[in-house]
Amino acid sequence: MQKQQQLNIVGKRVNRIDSMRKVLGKPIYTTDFIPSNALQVKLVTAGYPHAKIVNIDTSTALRVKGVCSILTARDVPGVNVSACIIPDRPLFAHDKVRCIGDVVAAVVADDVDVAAEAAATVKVEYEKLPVISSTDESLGPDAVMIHEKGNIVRHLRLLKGDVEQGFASSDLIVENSYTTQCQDPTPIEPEAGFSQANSDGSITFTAPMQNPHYVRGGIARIIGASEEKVRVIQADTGGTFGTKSDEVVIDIGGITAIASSLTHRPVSLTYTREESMIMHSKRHPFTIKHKTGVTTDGLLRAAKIDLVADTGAYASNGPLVLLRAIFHATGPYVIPNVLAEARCVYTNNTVAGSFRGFGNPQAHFAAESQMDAIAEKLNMDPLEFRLKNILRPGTSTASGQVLDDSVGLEECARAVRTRSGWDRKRVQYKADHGKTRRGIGVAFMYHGNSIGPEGNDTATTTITITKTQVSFRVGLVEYGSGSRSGLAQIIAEILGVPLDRVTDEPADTGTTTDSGGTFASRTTVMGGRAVLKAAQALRERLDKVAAEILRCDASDIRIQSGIVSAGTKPRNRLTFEQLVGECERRGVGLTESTAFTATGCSFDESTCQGTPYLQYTFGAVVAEVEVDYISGLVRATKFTTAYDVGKAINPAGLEGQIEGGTAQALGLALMEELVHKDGFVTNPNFAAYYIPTSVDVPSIRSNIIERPGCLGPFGAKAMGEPPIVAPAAALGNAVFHATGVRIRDLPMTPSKVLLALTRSAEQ
Amino acid sequence: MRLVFTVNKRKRVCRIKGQETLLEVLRDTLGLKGAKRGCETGDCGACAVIVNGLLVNSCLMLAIQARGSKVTTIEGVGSAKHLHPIQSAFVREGAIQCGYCTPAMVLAAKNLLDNQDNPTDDEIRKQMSGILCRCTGYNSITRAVKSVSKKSVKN
Amino acid sequence: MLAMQMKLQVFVPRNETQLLRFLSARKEDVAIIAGGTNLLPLVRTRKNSFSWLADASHLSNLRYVRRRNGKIEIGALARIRDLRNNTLTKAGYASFAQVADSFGSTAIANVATVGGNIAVAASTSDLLPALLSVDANVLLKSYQKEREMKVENFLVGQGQTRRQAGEMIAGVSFDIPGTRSISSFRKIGRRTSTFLAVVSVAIFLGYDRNKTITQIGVAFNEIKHSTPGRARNVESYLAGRVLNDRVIGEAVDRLKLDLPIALGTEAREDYWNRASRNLLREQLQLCKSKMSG
Repeated sequence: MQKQQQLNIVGKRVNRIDSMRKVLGKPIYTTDFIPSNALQVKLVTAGYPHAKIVNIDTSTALRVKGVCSILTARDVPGVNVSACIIPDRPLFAHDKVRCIGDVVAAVVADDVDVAAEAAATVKVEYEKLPVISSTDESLGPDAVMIHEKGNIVRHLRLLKGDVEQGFASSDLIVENSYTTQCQDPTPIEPEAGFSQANSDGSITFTAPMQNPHYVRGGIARIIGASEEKVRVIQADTGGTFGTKSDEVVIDIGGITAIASSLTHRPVSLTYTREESMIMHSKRHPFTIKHKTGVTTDGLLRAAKIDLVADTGAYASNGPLVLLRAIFHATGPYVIPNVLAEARCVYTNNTVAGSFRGFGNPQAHFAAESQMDAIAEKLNMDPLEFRLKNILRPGTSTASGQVLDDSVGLEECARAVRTRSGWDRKRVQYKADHGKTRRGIGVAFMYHGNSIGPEGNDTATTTITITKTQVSFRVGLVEYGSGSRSGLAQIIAEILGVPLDRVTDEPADTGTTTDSGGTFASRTTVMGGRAVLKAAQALRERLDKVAAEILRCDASDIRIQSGIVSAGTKPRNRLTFEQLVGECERRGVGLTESTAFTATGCSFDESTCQGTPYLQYTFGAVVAEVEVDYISGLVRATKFTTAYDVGKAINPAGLEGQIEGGTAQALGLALMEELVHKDGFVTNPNFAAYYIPTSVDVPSIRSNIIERPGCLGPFGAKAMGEPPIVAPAAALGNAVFHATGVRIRDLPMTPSKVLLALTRSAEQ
Repeated sequence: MRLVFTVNKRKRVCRIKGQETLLEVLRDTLGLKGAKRGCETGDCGACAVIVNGLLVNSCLMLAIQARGSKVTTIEGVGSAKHLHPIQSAFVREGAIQCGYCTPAMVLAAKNLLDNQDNPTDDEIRKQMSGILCRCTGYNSITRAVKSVSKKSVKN
Repeated sequence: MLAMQMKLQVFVPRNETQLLRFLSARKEDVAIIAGGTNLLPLVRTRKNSFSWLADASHLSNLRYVRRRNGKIEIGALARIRDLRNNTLTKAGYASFAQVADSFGSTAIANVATVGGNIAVAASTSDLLPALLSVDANVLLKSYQKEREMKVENFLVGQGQTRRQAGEMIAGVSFDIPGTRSISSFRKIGRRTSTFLAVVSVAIFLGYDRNKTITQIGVAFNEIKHSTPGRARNVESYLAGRVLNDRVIGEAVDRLKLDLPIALGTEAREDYWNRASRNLLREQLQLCKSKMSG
């Protein structure tokens, strides 16, 4: 790992490398450059949330002028599966449909209007089945089986110590139940993609996505070809937050690839906003029950937690969301006795899968509301109560993992306490008595970095140096966070070149090696280690040649802003271009490919004890609200945040992630809910599904704390997801402070708040 | 139908179908891809352009309704060699993440500053409230617009 | 599931007469498009029952906000942004400016029209409570004739009006208020801005030297039949009274006599009942303090 020394680019606020083409409105997103001769696809989706398919009649549709082909399950050359972990989801539904997002047929036509006309004439005969709308129904004794193996996808248990003993030694026991809703990621760019069948029988698929190599594998399986025959190119992506990580990208790829092979034309499929919201994956709604035992001086003794997640009709990433949720279910605290049970359950709602946070925002809403409820019962300041119990270096998590030095939670807590004016406002706001009342609340969090226990964690990269540029290829993609720019910064830092000398090549499976998926906030941590390793190897080679030229030791070589000099004899120098030229003449290769693998994650599957993650990001968020007693509307008025990020690679990028993640958590807390009624989505549009606008999001102060971790480059920790984890609970706690009323079901809509206020006034 | 209008200071004559929206004509007929499809119900603002000095959602306007009008799209704002001050501010303030809402945000900001010197933070936020961003949390965008308005730049 | 779409064609009239003649010939098969904010999403989701769109957007003779014969007249093509126009605020109708401010995004208010908002006739048509509170008339024109009626009578149900086939909404008009008058409007919803109204109220009060209420209009976005309407019981109580805390309390109590019959779910009704009472109380208190100030 890099020794601590003066850093010139890492740690500095720099402009991202992709800003120019975006601010100029260049045609870089997939639907901006679909080939003009491409055919278009319109999907026929399930008419009912749960039904047997008796017959599919495409005869009328096939006669519509301009229709080239209509695909159903029988047209799949390979395996009719498009799924993430458990192969429980077909590409085309064939015997039954399990949610209204299921695809029954795909109409391929000259243009999208013709395809839509024809799709409307496809007649599907169904035999309706009972619809399961909730996890309660699904777990009930007479529930119909949505899949043959039953309605429980995964059951996990975390066991530490002895909870019964723990409760027996507690002075106070607090029990509450919390629920979180279906939140839709709603990236502003809907899902889309196009395939081109090439003359050599291979397929090229271009789309916005997170995981080019997974998509390649998924398409290859569907068309029954080897992976070498499928080339997947990630186009500039207009946001995803998880939707473009899951099945829909493979759906689009598989369907257009089959159609392109059949028609020998490029084939394109673009979702409307409505289709997007029905078909892509969303946040798992959770029901979480907490029973907590604590002593009168505020020390946590025992926690019993039950978590149930609604994964919808298919498992998607549910099993892994459940895993992250159970590991973090207690919140960042030392609790000697913990028993947690978690179940991921099928229903006939639309699919829940990856969405930024991946189970952790839900887990923390419950855990941090519970901590607040306990503080109230103990008559203690909520921040003080938390400080008594937080994880610190050398303490042990709910999984029995003893933490190293890299635990900056206490510093985060102190930073938000001071900078938000916590103590003063806790008293001052309580005096409000008019038609709007203010409140201030806090929540702490932690988030295990990268995929931890989910599987093999490897990143690979290739860096190539020429006289004019340093280019790198990595399978981890850019979709807004700017983390790829961070990789460029690391490379520029190590090699000593200006940042604008570094370019990133598109994520194209034809040229880029696999680095796993771009999720779990792993680009900076894992991608960063890979590029660091490759850049250091190249630097060694450069130093050696430079030392020969400058007649000094390799360790004396300094490269800064593209100038190479010998530290001891600064007058002797050459430019980076000259050095590269010298290397080329001497036949010293300036391409380096490396892999970096994280090792050491393991846990006992029956108790969830072990080392699930190698490092954790910690944070604290103070939220301030104003509650309108006329309407029940809660307005967030300010956020003060502090995160232990290990090492900030680009502070501007970090702030962007903190502000964006906080805004999404605000939506989760106050206004977003994708409503399923008997399996149908009633609000798949922006008119009735509210996400925060610029007027809803207040100022967000970020405080960066650095306690270098063991995993990331320069000690960096993951910061893509952590900012979405705590703010919802902080808002709920602020509402409680303002009104004395606790809402335990997200979102905290005006309706819920006003009714709770009225009920509490009546008592 | 024949549509005659001015786009980015250039007169354009197009053959269009009656029911085509301004968004479709800009993107598919004129090849100006900066205006985006985000929802096509006028709720997300990704398609926003300026028509006769007013910010409008081009997905909600029939192209024929823009006859005789002056339309400004992102392609008419700045260039790689000469970024508009608003564009420089966006880059500098980190107001661009995935970039999908950026053309609309830049146009909304330009439209505000063309008509008003020194808008307050609240006025900036109100103007931008019709354009949804899922990435930035809007603070950096507001900062970018504020930083330009201080210098009172009009086009 | 995609519905079959009616083949859509667009007619571009050169003037109002051409438009009316076209309407007269094709009646319900034509929808007039101005701002497009309601029609285009309808067309895109294939829910249109008409096959012609007639573009009225360039008929500038219908885009007026003016005083005439002791009345304020607003043309059907006046845009929501035009409601911030001086004529209205000078005449004392602050409520219309408030409607314009809370209407929705800038881009929507720039094109959405008064006529379009009335034609939608929904509880989300923000202009309607304001128009009802000032007892406005709507002017309807067809190729054959013109007629006028109270906006209140024009609205029949959610999305339903007394507009006849071949008729278009040409404008609205209402009295210029006396110097002793106050108006206000507030809407509440699920977000701080750019939201559909869940509950909204518009109040217009005329009063004399003694602050006795001589004219009163209180309209909500949903009253009976789930359409915008006037709270007649509240109005009849307030007429002839002076606003004080007790009177305001009584007026709010009367609201239950005017409330909507059914809103679909108990939770919705419960919220609506409480929020509307709170809103009415707040707005009446505001009027009271404006009167003394």
